[in-house]
Amino acid sequence: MEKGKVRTFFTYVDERYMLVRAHPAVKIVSLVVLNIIPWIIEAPAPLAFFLASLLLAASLMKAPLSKLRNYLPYLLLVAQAVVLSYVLGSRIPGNVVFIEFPWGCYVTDKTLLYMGSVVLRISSMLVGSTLVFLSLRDTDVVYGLKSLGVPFSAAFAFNLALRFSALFLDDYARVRDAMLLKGAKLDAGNPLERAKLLSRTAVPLMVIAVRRMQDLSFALELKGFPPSGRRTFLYQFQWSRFDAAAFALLTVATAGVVIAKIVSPLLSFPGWPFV
Amino acid sequence: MRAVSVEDLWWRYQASSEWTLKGVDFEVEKGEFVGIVGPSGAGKTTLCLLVAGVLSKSVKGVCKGKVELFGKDALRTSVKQLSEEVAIVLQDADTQFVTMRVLDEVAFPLENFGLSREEILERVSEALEFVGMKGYEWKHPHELSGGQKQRVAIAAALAKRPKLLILDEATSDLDPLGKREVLSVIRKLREGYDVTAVIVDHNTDDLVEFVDRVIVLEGGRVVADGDPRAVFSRIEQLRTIGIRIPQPTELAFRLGAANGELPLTVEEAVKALAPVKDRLRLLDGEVLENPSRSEKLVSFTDVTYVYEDGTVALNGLSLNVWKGEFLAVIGPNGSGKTTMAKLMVSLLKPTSGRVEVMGVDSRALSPTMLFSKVGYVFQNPDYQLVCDTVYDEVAFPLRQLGVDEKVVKERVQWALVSVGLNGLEETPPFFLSKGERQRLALASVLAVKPQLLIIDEPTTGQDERNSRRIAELLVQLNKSGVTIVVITHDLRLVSEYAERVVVLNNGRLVTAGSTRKVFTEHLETLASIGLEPPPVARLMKELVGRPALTVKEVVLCERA
Repeated sequence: MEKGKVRTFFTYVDERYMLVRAHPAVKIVSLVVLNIIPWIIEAPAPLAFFLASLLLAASLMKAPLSKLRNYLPYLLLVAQAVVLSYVLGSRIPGNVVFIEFPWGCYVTDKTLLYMGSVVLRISSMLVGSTLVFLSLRDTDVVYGLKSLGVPFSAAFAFNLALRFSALFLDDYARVRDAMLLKGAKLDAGNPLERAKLLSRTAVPLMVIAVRRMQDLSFALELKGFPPSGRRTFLYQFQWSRFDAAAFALLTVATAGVVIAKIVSPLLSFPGWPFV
Repeated sequence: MRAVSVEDLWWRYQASSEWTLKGVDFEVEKGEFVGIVGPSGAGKTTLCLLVAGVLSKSVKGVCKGKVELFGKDALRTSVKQLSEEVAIVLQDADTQFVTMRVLDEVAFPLENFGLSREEILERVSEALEFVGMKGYEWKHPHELSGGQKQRVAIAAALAKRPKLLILDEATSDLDPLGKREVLSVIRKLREGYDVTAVIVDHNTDDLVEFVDRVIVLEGGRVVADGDPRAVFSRIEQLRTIGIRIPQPTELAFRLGAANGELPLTVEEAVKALAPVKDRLRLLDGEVLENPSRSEKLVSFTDVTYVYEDGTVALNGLSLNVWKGEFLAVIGPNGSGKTTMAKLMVSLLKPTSGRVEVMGVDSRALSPTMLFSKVGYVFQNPDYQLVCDTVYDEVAFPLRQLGVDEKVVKERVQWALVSVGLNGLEETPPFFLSKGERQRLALASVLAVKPQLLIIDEPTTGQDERNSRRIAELLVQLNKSGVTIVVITHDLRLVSEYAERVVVLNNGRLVTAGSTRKVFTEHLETLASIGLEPPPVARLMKELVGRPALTVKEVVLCERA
């Protein structure tokens, strides 16, 4: 593989971060819960509280928060897209109308508030997922999913997808370079033309992927996959007190949020759904 | 005892009207090491996959005949049952790495077979020890070199304790050091492991060192099968088929100097040619770098390139590429060759120092500004083929330049004739063979008539005929005025065709000079970074004290 161009989903932060030492199932459940809760909460203040709690908990668990900086550009990009789409394309009724566009869309005080909610929701999901991903080891996906009842073959296929998506990204970078070297102006000019040119990368990517998959299927079959009988698992993960506590906390938090959403307006956005 | 028995084996892929294998017959005895050679498309990989019992169950096709593996019908027995007896190591090390740790990779098949944890750990440790990868258990695939990955693949195969090990071009994609690492494992296997092996390789110089027998496949048929010495004595036949002859054999044959049996290895050739040692001469008038080359096409001045992850790929590199030269850039994996090439086409910008392409600072250039002047052909042509037909593929860069369609047609025809693909204009690129796809990628670059052509590993994984065809095409282009820069591990190609060599290691320039000078005066330096000149160079160094670059330049004088 080419020097300095390695892509992997795993960051391998050290074990001072408590979540790294957690049972794989806890990590997988955390990932799910931290993405569900922000979807349930709609109001900006509780979302801000949730995000702050998340960061505080991560800090207490000695998470390497500085690593979040790497994801900040993506977050800003998404935030920009959210702001633009709500400013230019929404009709949320509110008390004060700030701008009204000729195409019938307008920006009110509620638009700004709702926009803030959406940005906070996405930020919470991104931060939560990143904090869990930072703790993931390559064996966690398979063992975590398996201990949650997912069949081994399916869990392994998911892990394999992670492994091969890294190779796919390398392939994409190479095909893109090759296109540039054939004079394809992928970075400038008419966006439609660029999209058309970029769509051509699908041809080699597909062919390379199909060839790779065929070799992979031969390799896997000769490695006895999928296992037909009893399979041994090299690693054995024990549940610790931390795992039990984390599991309980995640369950209580999810249940609490669901109940609060049903019984009280606290987590709902005032006026939602807009009519 | 018979390990493999193949009887009248025929195979046709469903999508094809041609039979890939046409009545193949052979047997392999237990403990035998058998080499399979043949040009690209001869059916070597198909044969290996059928012997392993995997192809007929995974891919749609028509199969006739019989394959027995240690008495079991390999075409009908389940892969699960066969997989405990046969292991295969393929060419692409990355594809075979199905987990993310060395330990997990070697343990994976054993876990699937349901062995106890204790036994798994014992076998993993033993296999890693055998291939010299002990201590690498927790390494991720991206932390390993190509040779190390293939050694892990062999360890994963050996951990199963298979009766048959198939190595299908397992060293083709490796640099010389990686190749040597894997070959030393095969040597060890032969010496002290109870296994039968089938080894497919284009590099016959290496193959003859390990095999008891060689089978030659051509067009899906066995055309020769026997002792390596007997098979490689049929030099004219093998040349016609397009099989690389081991250099010591070729030299002894050319000189007519071996009494009786032709030598296969350097050591054998030293003995065989010893009686005529005093009459051996080298036609090697010192070829210096062409002094008329004074126009710089590309210049590197104290160039350093550091990747985002901190890897220093080039470190203070200073050198020039002269107009009209045929330059080879060699060095082990990770030495900075590809980074150097990418700086020349402006895909990368130097971290420090200055790269000038045709007098312009590369920081002010982009690949799309340069592509009509500097062409780049990738090692794997598949990354470069993005159109539906051969014609459109070659026309693509011309159309990007806005060239008139009439001129496009002329240029496409010229480029296709140059690479020998005329007549295939309407064929979809991915229907071509690998050698043809490589030539198509070259044609699409040639169509814009670049002044400088950079070509990355043009002969890797190619058979002898395709390698020669590409090399000779490059020579022709060079003679017509195109400057050629070849990045390669193939030192046989370098010694036969390159005018000048640049040697890189760890991002630094080790040496540069005329090919003869580098291969004559810097043999130890090359060896120290894992680069081994072709066998004829070592052979003549041993016999007459001076290395030869090619077989052709060694002559036998009349006795005084």
